[in-house]
Amino acid sequence: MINAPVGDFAAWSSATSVVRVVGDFSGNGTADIALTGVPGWGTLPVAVSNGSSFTVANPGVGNFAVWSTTSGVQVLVGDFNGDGRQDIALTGAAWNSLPIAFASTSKTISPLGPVVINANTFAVTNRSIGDFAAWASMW
Amino acid sequence: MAGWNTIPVALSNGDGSFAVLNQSAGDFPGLASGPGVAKLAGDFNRDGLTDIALVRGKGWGSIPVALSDGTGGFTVVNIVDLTMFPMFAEEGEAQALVGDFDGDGGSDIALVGVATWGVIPVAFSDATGGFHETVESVADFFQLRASVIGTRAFAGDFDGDGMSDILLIQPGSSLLPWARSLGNGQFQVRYINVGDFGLWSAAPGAQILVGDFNGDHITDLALSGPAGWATVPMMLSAGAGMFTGDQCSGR
Repeated sequence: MINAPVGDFAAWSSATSVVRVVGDFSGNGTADIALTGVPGWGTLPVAVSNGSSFTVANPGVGNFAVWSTTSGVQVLVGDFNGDGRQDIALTGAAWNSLPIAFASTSKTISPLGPVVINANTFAVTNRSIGDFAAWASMW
Repeated sequence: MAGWNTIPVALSNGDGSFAVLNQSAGDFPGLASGPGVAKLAGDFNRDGLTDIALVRGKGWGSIPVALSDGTGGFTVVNIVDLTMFPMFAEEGEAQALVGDFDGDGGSDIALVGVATWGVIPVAFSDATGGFHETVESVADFFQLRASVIGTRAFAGDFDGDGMSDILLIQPGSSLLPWARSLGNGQFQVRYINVGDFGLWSAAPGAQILVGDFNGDHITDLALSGPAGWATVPMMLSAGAGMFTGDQCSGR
């Protein structure tokens, strides 16, 4: 057994009403763990697996975090843009849109040298979807 | 949904928008709205697209399937080709698990969770939307163990042979019953010793997560949740039913 330290991620994952989802959000071929659904959050914490340990990121996702706390919402994991990374969508509320947090990577040049730092982020969209959202809330 | 005769689908455009389609699916939505009917997603005809299957309908002799055409439309197939599987599926506690239990690339359905069963019913999909069934005996009171309150059954390839198996996780137990699929409807029961991982899984708020956490195409386990923890324990499958650092035993 591997019992990898994950810092604050462990505490966040114990929050009341938290929803834990599994998916390859980094696109590295391993399953990661993401957390959402907690009132008061503005981020989407993700523990990215490298096969033997986790790297924790806690990117801001704005209102997506708030929407994920809506009563009746279902959190869906899927690769909604075909980029090989799994994304997170919300459905089941009485909305007329379908929010998605697209997993992506930000790259930063370190001031200490030509090092590119990759951090897991999410790009949020919330496009209209007409009657589909209402139908989804009936289930 | 009762009263519907369509299956709404939102096809992602890849930029956050969706194309919503709502095409006729005959009597499939009505069948899906029956009391107790379970809707299962999987690739039931091996074409690489996700389809929908229905089980647990009262008095059925089939598994109705809506086969996706990839554009929002479905072809409904409802071949009455089963005798035993639907009857088992109707039983109140029966849980349907989707997995590729014969390794042919298509999704199949297995039933677990009824204490009095000495068998594991399996419906193997073919490439047309039909199924053939097996009802093979299973040893060591596997179904009785699966029926214990709090026990969760997971379908996954825990030995890396390309076929889905069934693993039972009883919170607080270090010895996990594992039904290893032989691909023909038969399952070989073994036990996986996961040591402290099993004990920790009983902690209040702990959730067992299943996934391939090291990218070797073999199903692993992780634990997340309890207050006061600073780690995410993982059991990484090493294939052949072994998890790294732990032991598998059985017959």
